[in-house]
Amino acid sequence: MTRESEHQADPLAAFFEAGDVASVDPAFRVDVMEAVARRRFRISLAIRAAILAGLVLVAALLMPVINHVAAALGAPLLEILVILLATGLVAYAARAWLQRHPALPHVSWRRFRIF
Amino acid sequence: MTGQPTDAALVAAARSGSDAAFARIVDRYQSPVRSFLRRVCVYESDADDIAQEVFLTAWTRLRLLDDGRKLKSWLFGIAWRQSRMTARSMARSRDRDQAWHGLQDQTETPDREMHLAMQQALAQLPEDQRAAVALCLAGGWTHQDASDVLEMPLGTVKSHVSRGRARLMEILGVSG
Repeated sequence: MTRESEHQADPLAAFFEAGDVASVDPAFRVDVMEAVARRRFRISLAIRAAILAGLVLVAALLMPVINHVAAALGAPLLEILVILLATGLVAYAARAWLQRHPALPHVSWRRFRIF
Repeated sequence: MTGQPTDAALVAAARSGSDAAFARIVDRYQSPVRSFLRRVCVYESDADDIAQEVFLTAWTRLRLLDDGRKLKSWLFGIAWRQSRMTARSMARSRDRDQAWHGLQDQTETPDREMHLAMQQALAQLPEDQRAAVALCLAGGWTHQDASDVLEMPLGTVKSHVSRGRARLMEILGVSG
């Protein structure tokens, strides 16, 4: 059926067609992708803040044990432990830097994953 | 063969973090979603804001979409729910709509006149009826698909479409 015959068949078709949005509007796409980037940044920030808060909490809870272990290890071994921890932190920061475009967040709590 | 990627392929790529794939989804569905929202929203000036929110919501919840092939009806479902929520909360639309119409008056064309006439006619229909008409008559959806998107019984959709069509023809003064 041609468009003309379609209009003859349905008198409302021309009215609807007049209100159709033109195929692709690049400005609209840009607006959406900017909004996506902003939301991704906020999600990523929230996840990292939650991890940091978790780590601080765990460290506070484990402080008596950490003090005990530090005392037992002595100065030389404690330095090695500090170096290992610092290396781990640097590795984590580097990984976060390399993954500046993280995958979509898992919003289902059951399947929640950080990376 | 250099065919267009399927919806399922685009959804899978977007889920794994591809912005390009999601941008293609936006390009593919922006026109029908925006057209639908312009017909469903009483205040047309809100339609593009809601459409942007629809795609943003889709990006956030993309992992909850079980079957990528259902992307289109899933997007329209989000659009329908979003427009209903917005209709209840956006009183500011009235002022913006009037300002927008003020701008449009300067560039009146026959198409524009027909569109405005249709918008005014659609605004006189109840919300559910307007949505059913926008999908089935303007968008060419089947009654069954529209019933899935709008979460209404099939009979209700058929009735909305039939009554909506008759009412629009009466308001617009056309006969078929």
